[in-house]
Amino acid sequence: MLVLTRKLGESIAIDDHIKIVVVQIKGKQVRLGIKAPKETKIHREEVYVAIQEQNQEASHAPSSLEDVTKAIKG
Amino acid sequence: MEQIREEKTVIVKTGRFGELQLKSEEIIFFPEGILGFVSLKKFCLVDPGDETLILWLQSLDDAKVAFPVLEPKVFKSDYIVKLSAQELRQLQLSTINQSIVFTIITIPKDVLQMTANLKAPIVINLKEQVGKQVILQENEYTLKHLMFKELKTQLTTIQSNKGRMDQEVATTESKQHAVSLKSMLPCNQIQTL
Repeated sequence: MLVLTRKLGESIAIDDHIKIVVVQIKGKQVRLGIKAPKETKIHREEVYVAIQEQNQEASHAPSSLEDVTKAIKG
Repeated sequence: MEQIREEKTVIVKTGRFGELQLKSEEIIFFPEGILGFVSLKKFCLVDPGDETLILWLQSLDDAKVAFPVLEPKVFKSDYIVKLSAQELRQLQLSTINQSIVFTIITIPKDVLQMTANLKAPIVINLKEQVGKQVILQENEYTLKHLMFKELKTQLTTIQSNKGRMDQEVATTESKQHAVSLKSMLPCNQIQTL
């Protein structure tokens, strides 16, 4: 992993089109500004974990489909 | 070539639906798997024949894994999935008109509390039979969108329409079957970014 040190207001360029700026540093929190083409998808890492957990939960649907059907149609 | 492919069937054992006999046009390939299930690459859609509109995305690699899925148009007509150029490439989509979107449904013990994952829907290229779970940028799309009421309303509407066309009811036989992608209609809730 590439590790870079940046000060407040400084930035990092990724390829030609992505720029990450350190906007604010407050205690243990760092606020980052991201400039990227609109088709670039940017997510907090937690989103991936949350989706994985949601998928796990969804795969454990009630074992009896009959009960589900009954509840939906009943 | 096409004919040979169509005639071939494989038999797959599943936990929920027993043995399924699958034609090649019913198999969907997920090159990256599904988040949290990255090793599972092959799936099919099963219609349990219970007329709830909920289909099941059944893994062909792990018999125990199946996700209930539902087309979001059923419960949220203003839902839009915006795909990036990279996602279009991964889905081998030359045109978005050949794709369909499903949301994964989480069904808890209290079925009325079921939710749809609007943040990470499943997009399927109907022609190439390739699927992918995409993550949407929009913050208003949550992982747990309550939708039982809307589904129920939709089912009631369908039921009352059917009542009026009772001739058709007689001919529709509801039976568990794998869904052929060729028989599915592309949806209009997918756009390019």
